[in-house]
Amino acid sequence: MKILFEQDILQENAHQAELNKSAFGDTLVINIIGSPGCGKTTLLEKTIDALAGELNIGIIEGDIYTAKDADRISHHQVPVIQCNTAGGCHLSAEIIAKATAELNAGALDILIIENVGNLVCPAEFDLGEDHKVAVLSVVEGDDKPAKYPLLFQEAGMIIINKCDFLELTNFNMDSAIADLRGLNENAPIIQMAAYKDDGLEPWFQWLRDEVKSKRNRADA
Amino acid sequence: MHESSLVEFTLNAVEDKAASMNIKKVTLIHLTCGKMRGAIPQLMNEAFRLLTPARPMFHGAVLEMEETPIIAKCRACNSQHEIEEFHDITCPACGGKEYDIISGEELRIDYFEGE
Ligand SMILES: Nc1nc2c(ncn2[C@@H]2O[C@H](COP(=O)(O)OP(=O)(O)O)[C@@H](O)[C@H]2O)c(=O)[nH]1
Ligand SMILES: [Mg+2]
Ligand SMILES: [Zn+2]
Ligand SMILES: [Zn+2]
Repeated sequence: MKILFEQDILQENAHQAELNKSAFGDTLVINIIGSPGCGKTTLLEKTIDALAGELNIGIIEGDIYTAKDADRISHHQVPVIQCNTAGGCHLSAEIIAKATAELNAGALDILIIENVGNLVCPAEFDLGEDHKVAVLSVVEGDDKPAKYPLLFQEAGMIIINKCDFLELTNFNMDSAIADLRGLNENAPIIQMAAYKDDGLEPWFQWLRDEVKSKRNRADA
Repeated sequence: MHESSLVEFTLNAVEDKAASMNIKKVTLIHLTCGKMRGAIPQLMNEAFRLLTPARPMFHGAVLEMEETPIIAKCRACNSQHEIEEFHDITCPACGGKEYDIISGEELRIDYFEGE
C-alpha cells in the first residue's frame, strides 16, 4: 500500500517552534549561528557588558558536550542556561522549549541563543526565534556565503567579524558582500572586530530597535 | 550528523502516520530534498542504515531520496535557470541580477509504502 504523505520532514520541529514563539511573548529572541571560533561567545560577552544596564538579557548556550561558553557567560551576571546536544550538531525547538521553561524567558527583554558552531544545520532548525544572526569571520574566507547559502539566506542580520584580520588575509569584502546581497537583499550587514570593541555600536542599536519593535508588535 | 537528525525526524513522522493507519510494516520511504538543504544522499542512507535496526517497523525498509536542483526565476524576464553556485548570479537570458528561488529548498516526505 502506498500512502501519500506530502509532509515537511521538519514539521514536528516547526510545530514546536511555533509553541516556543508564543511562550516567548514579547521577549526578543535571537539565534546566533556561525562556525566554531567565529566569535559568537565574544559577541555575547560584549553585548551583555554594553546592554545589561538597560535591558534584561538571558542567554542560552548550545554546546556539544562542554559548559565552557556558559562558564564564560556566567561571569557577566546574567541568567544563562547551558544545553548540551550530546553530539548533535544543532539546537532543536524541543531543546529550547526545555531550556526556556527554566529561564522564565517571558520576563526578559532579550533572549540570545548561541547555537552549536556549524554553518549547515543550525540554519535548518527553527527555534521560534525572531531572527537568525549569521556570524562570519574574515579568517574563514569570503567564499563561505556561496558554500553555505541557506544560513545567509535565512539570516535577519549578518555580522562579518574579525575585520582586524582583513589585511592579513585575502578576504575580499566587496565580493563577500556581493554574494551576501545575492542571497539576502534585506538583512543588515555589519563589519566589526568584536574582540577589539570595534564596530559594535550598530549591532547594539539594532538590538535596541528590535526590542522596541517586538514590544510594539506584541502590544498591537 | 545533520543527516541523522533528518532521518530521525522522518522515521518519527512516518511511524506516527503509519500507526494511525494501522500499518505494521513500512517497506519504502520516498523523500525529496532540495540541494539548498545540504542533505547528502550517501549520508542519508548511512543514517537510515544505522537508525532503523532499533525500530522494528522499518526492518528491511528502503530509503529513496530525490535531489532537486536549485532553480532561480529571473525577476526581469521570468526565465528560469539552475544555480550551481551562489556567486555572481546572472540571468543567462537577460543579464538580470535579481531572482527568486522557486525550487531546491524542499525537505519533504512525499510518500511511503507499507503493509
Ligand atoms: N582578532 C580577533 N579575534 C577575535 C575576534 N572575535 C573573537 N575573537 C577571538 O576568536 C576566538 C574564538 O572566539 P569565540 O567567541 O570563542 O568564538 P565562538 O566559538 O564562535 O563562540 C577567541 O580567541 C576570541 O578572542 C575579533 O573580532 N578579532
Ligand atoms: Mg562559543
Ligand atoms: Zn545538526
Ligand atoms: Zn532574465
